Amino acid sequence: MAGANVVRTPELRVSLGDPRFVLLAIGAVVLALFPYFGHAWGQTYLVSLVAKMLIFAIAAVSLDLILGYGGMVSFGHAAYIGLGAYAVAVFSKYGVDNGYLQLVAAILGSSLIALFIGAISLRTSGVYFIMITLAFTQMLYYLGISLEPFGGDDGMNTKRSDFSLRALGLDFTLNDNLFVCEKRVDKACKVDDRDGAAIYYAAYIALIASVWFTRRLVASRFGMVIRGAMSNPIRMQAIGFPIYRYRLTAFVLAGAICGVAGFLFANHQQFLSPVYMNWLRSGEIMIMGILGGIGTIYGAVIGAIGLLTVEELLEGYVGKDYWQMVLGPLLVVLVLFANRGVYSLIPHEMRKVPMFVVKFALVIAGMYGFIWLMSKSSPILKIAGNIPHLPLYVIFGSMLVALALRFRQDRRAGHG
Amino acid sequence: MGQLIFETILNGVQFGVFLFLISAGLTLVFGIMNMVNLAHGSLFMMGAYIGSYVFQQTDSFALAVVVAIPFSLVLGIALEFLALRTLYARDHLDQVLATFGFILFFNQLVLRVFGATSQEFRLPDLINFPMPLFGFTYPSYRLIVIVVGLAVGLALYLVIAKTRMGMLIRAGASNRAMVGALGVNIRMLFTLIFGIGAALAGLAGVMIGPIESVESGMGENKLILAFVVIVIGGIGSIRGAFIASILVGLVEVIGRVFMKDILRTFLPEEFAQTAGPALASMSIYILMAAVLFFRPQGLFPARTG
Repeated sequence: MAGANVVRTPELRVSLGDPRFVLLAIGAVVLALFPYFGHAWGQTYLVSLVAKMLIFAIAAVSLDLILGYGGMVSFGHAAYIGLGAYAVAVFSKYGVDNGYLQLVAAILGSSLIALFIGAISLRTSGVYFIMITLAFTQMLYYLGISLEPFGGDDGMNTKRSDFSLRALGLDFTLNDNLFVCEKRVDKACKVDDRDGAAIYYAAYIALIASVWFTRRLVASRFGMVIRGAMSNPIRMQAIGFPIYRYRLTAFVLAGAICGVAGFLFANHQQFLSPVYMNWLRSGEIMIMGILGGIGTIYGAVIGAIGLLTVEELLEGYVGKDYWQMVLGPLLVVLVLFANRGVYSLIPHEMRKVPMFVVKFALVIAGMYGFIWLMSKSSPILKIAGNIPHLPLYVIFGSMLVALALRFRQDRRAGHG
Repeated sequence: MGQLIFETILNGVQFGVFLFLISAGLTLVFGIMNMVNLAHGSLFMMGAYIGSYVFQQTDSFALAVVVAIPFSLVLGIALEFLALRTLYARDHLDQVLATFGFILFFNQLVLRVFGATSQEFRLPDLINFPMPLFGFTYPSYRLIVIVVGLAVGLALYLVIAKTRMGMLIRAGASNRAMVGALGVNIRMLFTLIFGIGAALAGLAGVMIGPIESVESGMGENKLILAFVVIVIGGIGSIRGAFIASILVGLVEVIGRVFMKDILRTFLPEEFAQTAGPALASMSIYILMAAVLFFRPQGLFPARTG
């Protein structure tokens, strides 16, 4: 457990003089206005994509709560996405579209399952914890596959949740459904439905709320206890804290927040599939947190948006067939060379910001240019003969060289 | 019915022995270097792919086995030497992520090189026929898998219990730093172990290839099962891995075949039809959760403290 005893001290207070806060505020405003511009430019797909990013950001934030502050490496966080989605599907299957009911069921369901999983998993630690959380998620995944009434392996279509005031039992015609508005005939509502702005803002508000909640939580006494239990569990116990109970509470809270993400995801996709609980999905959520920087909360949001953006770019430019072949080595390189996360790269002082912006722009431009080059070069290489994917070999080769160099450095530094 | 029970139990043993081939390397990597290597499933997959490729080219199963094992050995050593050894000092999180990256890479690599369809890999009739055994019949090839697996298990046991290298491995599993301090080149030893583990995974791949389908992502389910095995058996323990493999194999296969019938005896028919397959695929995870609940370090913990 080499990394578990590293005490991370995140800056919990923000001020206007802090560039991180300024950047986050700008980001929040841009995201808030995004559907407006997206629709103005006719980019409905982009709005839907960013809504998906926001939903996964909620999941990544909830994972960061237990991973970054509690040291609990849960390799089964996708379970709660699935549970939230199943809450929507089960109710809608039996004709209950009431969104309030579904949301409560999603939160309760994922909390209860998290309580059960956590109560058993938290008896173990380290690798055993990673594996047992993975095992429980696999169980739920196979359970989902064999649940034939809810689509089994193939999944099933779900209806959007009904968040109208009617669902609350109030007979208002003024304010109809938030997510679905087939029944309304005026133009504004039709635009809403088609462009998915409602689901976007639901995800946006839920994300802001979960970020706010987790930041408050980790700064509170409760947060101090779970952070203390991460850096020195024995001492915390000696002081008299029942750390098992504190950890379990954090685990359940994280599950509940992620359940909300699952609830939103089912509404976003209007589809349910057991694949939501696949272990690759759990890995993806974990990668988001780590790319952004764990133990920062904001980092998880940056990581979720960043990873899904890179995936989308690679899929678009490199092609559906082998973008993962680029993403895989990219992850390896990122883990080996930049293991502190993107968020930690943002400077603390205002005067360092211009330099940072320039560097960041250069990196983004470089990456973009690289992907562009790869997309352009492959036809030429195809003509050149039977090595159609030379760029991939070049990346992988250079990665290997970089690793070999690093290995030599390690040797020189006396780690060999 | 007797034939079915006989065949199911032997199939369980065969599956368990096969899991042992994958888990043996993984548990040593895990136990000695405290390293979570998700790419182990990819080594298994690469073994199966190379085996099927050689088979398609030469039409010889024996040659496929002979080529796939050294190939996996070299691939494993190369992977360890070039990338994974920088990860030993990192925490589990980094290891999980980086090796996860390798899974993505290898899965897509085989898709690009060999195509999306599953690979042709047949057994010669010479070793594949219904064999009479204790008054029942059983496919001879599966019997060969059992025998090979048991032989490998015995060989590993002898190496680990009787040789100097085995002594170092055991010492490394219980206290790596101390072994290093005593002047043993633990890194070299470890590269070797990693290579052997990879070769065993490759052997498992080439042996299971003709029974199951050779396709991209075939390693992942097996990898998770292997992790279940080593967590149940106790990390770093070959003996634990062997016993847990057989246990998991039996539970998995018997559950698949008989869970419905077992449930039917005390539950309504309709319910048994739905719950049977669900419970069968969950059963090994339930087993694992139960073992960890009562013995958080697994059945045969190799590391103390």
